[in-house]
Amino acid sequence: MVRRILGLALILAASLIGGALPSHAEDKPAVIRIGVAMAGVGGRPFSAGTYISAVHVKGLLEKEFAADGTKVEWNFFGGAGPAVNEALASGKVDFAWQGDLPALVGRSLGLKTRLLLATGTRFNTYIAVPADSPLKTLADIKGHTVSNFNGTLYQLTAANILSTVGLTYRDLKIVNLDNATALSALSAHQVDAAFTSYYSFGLREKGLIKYLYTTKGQDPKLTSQAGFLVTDDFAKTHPSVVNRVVKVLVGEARWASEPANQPALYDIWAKVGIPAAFFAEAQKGEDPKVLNSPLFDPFITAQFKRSAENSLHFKLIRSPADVDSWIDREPLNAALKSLGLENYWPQFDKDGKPVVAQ
Amino acid sequence: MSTSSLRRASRAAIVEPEPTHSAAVIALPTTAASAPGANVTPRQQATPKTRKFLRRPVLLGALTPLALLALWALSSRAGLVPQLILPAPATVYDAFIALVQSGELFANLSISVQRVALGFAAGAGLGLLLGAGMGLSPRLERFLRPTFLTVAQIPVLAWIPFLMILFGIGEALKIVIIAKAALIPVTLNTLDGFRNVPRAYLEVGRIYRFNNLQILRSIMLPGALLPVFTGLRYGLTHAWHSLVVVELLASTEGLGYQMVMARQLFQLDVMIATMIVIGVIGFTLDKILAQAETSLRRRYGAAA
Repeated sequence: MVRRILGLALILAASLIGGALPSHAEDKPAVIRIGVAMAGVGGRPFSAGTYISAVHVKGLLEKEFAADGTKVEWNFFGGAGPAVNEALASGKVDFAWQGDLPALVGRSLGLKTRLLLATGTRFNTYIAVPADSPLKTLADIKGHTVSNFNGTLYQLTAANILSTVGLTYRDLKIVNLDNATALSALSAHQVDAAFTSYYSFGLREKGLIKYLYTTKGQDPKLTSQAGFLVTDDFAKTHPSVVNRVVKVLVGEARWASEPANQPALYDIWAKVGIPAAFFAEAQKGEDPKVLNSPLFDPFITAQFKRSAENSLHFKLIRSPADVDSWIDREPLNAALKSLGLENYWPQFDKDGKPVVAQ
Repeated sequence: MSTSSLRRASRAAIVEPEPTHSAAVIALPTTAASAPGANVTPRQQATPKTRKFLRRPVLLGALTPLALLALWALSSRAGLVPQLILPAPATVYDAFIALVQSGELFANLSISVQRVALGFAAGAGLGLLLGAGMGLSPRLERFLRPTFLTVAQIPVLAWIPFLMILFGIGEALKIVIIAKAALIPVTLNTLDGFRNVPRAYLEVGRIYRFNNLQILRSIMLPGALLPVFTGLRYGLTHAWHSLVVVELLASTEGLGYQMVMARQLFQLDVMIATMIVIGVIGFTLDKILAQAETSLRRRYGAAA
C-alpha cells in the first residue's frame, strides 16, 4: 500500500515536472516486450529448457516492474528463432531469447542487438528414426529424407553433427518441418529420420521411434546454446531497465541451478505440454549448475564463436558475425556482483573442460 | 496472399464460363472476337479508333512494374522501410545473380518445372477426358457434374491435410495437388466447349450423313477447340500457382523450398528474387499460351 502511494506520488511528481527530467521518464517504458523462440505443444504460450521459463511462469519481471506501471509482454513464437528475427527487425520486441544460429543470422544482417546472457546451453540434439528403421549408424543417413527445423539452432547443430562423419547438409534430402510436424511425419514413415530433442521422448515411449544418434554424452562442442539479447535501441533508451531485467533473470538462473529445485523447474517446463519426467531424463547425469549458468565463460563464448564461423562456412550466414563486440557483459557482471554470485557458477575452457579456480 | 488469390482465381474459372454460354453460341459463328472463358484482350475488342492507342500494350504494361520498381528503389534509398525487411532492388538483383551463378536457381527451377509438367499432364489429361465425356453425354454429366463441382469448391489448402495423410509429404502429394489444380478448369472448359458446339453444325453434319466418328472429328473437336485451349491455359496457370503452395509446405527442393529456406535464414533478398522469378515465369507461361490461343482463334475461330 505504502509502495503504491509512493509510486502514485512519484508518477504525480514526474508528470508535474514533465519535460524537465526526461531521462527519468524515459526509463519507465510503458511496456517491455520479450520474444521467446519457442511455443508449447499446439502453440501454448510457454517455454522450456531455460531459467527464463521460470521467470515467465512466476511473473518475476511483472513483479519487478509493477511499481513503475511498466507492463511485461511475452510473445511466444511457434516459428522459433527465424520468427523472432522478423519480430526484432520490425521492432516488435525489445528482448529476445533465441538459438545461436538465428541470433547470428540477425547479427550478420545488421540487426542491432546486444547479447546479454547465455541460456539453454549444452542442449542435446537427437536423431530419431522409426522403430523399424534399417539405419544403424549416423553415416547411414546419407541420401535419406530427413526433417529438420531450418533456420533454428537445429540446422547448425545438424551441420556440425553431419560433419563429424564427413557428410554435409546437401547429402540429405532435408524437409523443413517444425518439431511437432516432424514427429508425426516420422511416425507415419514420411521421413526417414528427424533432428529433434527430448520433444520426441513421447514417441519413443510408445515404441514408434528409436534414436540413431544423440549428442548427449559426446563432445560438448556438439551441444547447442541460445542467448538472451536486447535491441540496441532499447538498451540505449532504457539502460537501467536492462540492468534490472538481467538481475531478475540471473537471480532465477541461480534458483534453477539448485539441485533441490529441479523437480519444481521441470514442472514449470512441463507447461509446454511435455511430461516433467522427460526433462528429468534429458538432464539426467548433468549438473544443473552447468545447464542453467547464464555466464559467457570461455566455453560458451567459444561456442558462439564456433557457431559464427561454422554458420559462415556452411553458408547459413553470408557475412561474418563478430561475437566479441556483440556480448555486452556489463549488465551480467553488475547483476552477479549485486547478488553476490560472482563465483557461484563453474567456468569451462574453450573445449568444455572445467577451469580450476586460481 | 497466394491462397486467397488462388481461391479467387479457381472460383472465377468455375463460375465464369456459365454466363457466357448464350454469348458464345451467338458469337462463335459470326465473329472470331469473343469466346467462352472470357479471355478477351483489349486488342481484340478495340474499335479501329482506339486500336492505335492500345497497340502498344507492352509499353503500357511495362509502366506499372517500372513505377513500382522506382518506388521501391526510392523508399529503400530514403530508408522508409528498413533494409532488413525490404532489401533494395540492387541487393535483390545481386541475390538473383548469385542464385543463377551458383546453379541453385536452375536446379530448383528444373525440379519445379518437372513437377508442374507431370501434374499438369495428369490433371489436364483427366480433365480432357472428363470434360469431353460429360460434354458428349448428358447422362454422364448428370451423374458427375454436381459431385465434380462440389469437389472443385474445396480449395487447395483444405485438401492438403487430407492428401498429406493419404500420400505422405513426398512427390506424390505435390503431383496430385498440381493435377487437381489443373483438372478443374480443364474439365469445366472442355465440358463447355463440347456442349456449346452449335446445334446447327450438328444438323448439317447429320444431313451429310456423317457417322459419329466423323461428327466428332469434323465438328465437335474443331468447334470445342478454343474453349478447351482456354481451359488448358487456366489449368497451367493454376498448376503453377499450386506448385508454389505445395513446395512451401513440405519440400526438399524446388522454387518454393528455396523461398522457405531463404525466409528461415532471413535472406529476404533471395526470397524476393525467387518471388519475382515465380511471377515472371507464371506471366510468361500465360503469355505464350495466350498468344497460341489468339493464333488458334484466328485459324479455327473463323473456320468454325
